[in-house]
Amino acid sequence: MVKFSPLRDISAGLIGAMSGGVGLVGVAAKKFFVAADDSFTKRFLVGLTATLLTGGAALIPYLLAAPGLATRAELAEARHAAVGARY
Amino acid sequence: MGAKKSGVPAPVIAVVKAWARAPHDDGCAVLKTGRMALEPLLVPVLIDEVAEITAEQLLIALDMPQAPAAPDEKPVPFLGLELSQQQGQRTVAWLEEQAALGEALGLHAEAWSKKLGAGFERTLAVLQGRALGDTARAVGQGMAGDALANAAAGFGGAVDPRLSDKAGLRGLLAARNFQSPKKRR
Repeated sequence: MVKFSPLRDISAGLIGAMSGGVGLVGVAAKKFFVAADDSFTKRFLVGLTATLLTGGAALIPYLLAAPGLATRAELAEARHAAVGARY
Repeated sequence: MGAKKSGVPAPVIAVVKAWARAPHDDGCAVLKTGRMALEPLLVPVLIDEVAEITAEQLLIALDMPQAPAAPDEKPVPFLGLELSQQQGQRTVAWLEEQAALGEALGLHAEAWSKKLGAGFERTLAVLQGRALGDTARAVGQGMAGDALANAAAGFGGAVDPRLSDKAGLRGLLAARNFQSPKKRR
């Protein structure tokens, strides 16, 4: 299990809350991409994209931290291999 | 890669195995708990074991398979060698663990660096004649020399690697300047 990281996890929470709670992405998408006479399909797709972007924004800190996690996992694997071969 | 080791007291082996099994982020805490529960006479044995294992860990990590290098990938200078970007990342991650590891063993950074240097020396002696990549062997020899002793203050955070001209630290600085994944494509 991934350990709690204050910087990464709190940033993710704040980004998620700001983009989702305030509804900035949805409001901006409606303003710029939806006109009054647009079809239901277009409105639906714009809404869906805005929803995905809102949720995805909270993942940004995790994506930034991911390469470091992979390297640390490799080191843990190497340590495990060294101990396994030793005793 | 390593050889079976005999003559190590069972309580020390138990602590080492618990440390190796622990999730990466909890390793040092598990090691510290184990060390504190250990009979005081066995603590030096534990320190030597962890030093050898940690040395071997870096050698194994450097020899791990790597993603193919991009044609414009810049090598990472370290201890007079040229590491790949991936090897550089592994080395820096390993170096960054050492301060916490020394602390878990109740050692100051400088003392842990000396123990690690000796650990590299013993590990290389055990691995003599075995399959080991050229880069891993050369890094091990550098670490077994005085690279770690000179870099000791850097482990403790007392010296900024970017400002020090001590052996190993220039390489450490360079190893931090990775190409971004975007540039590597």
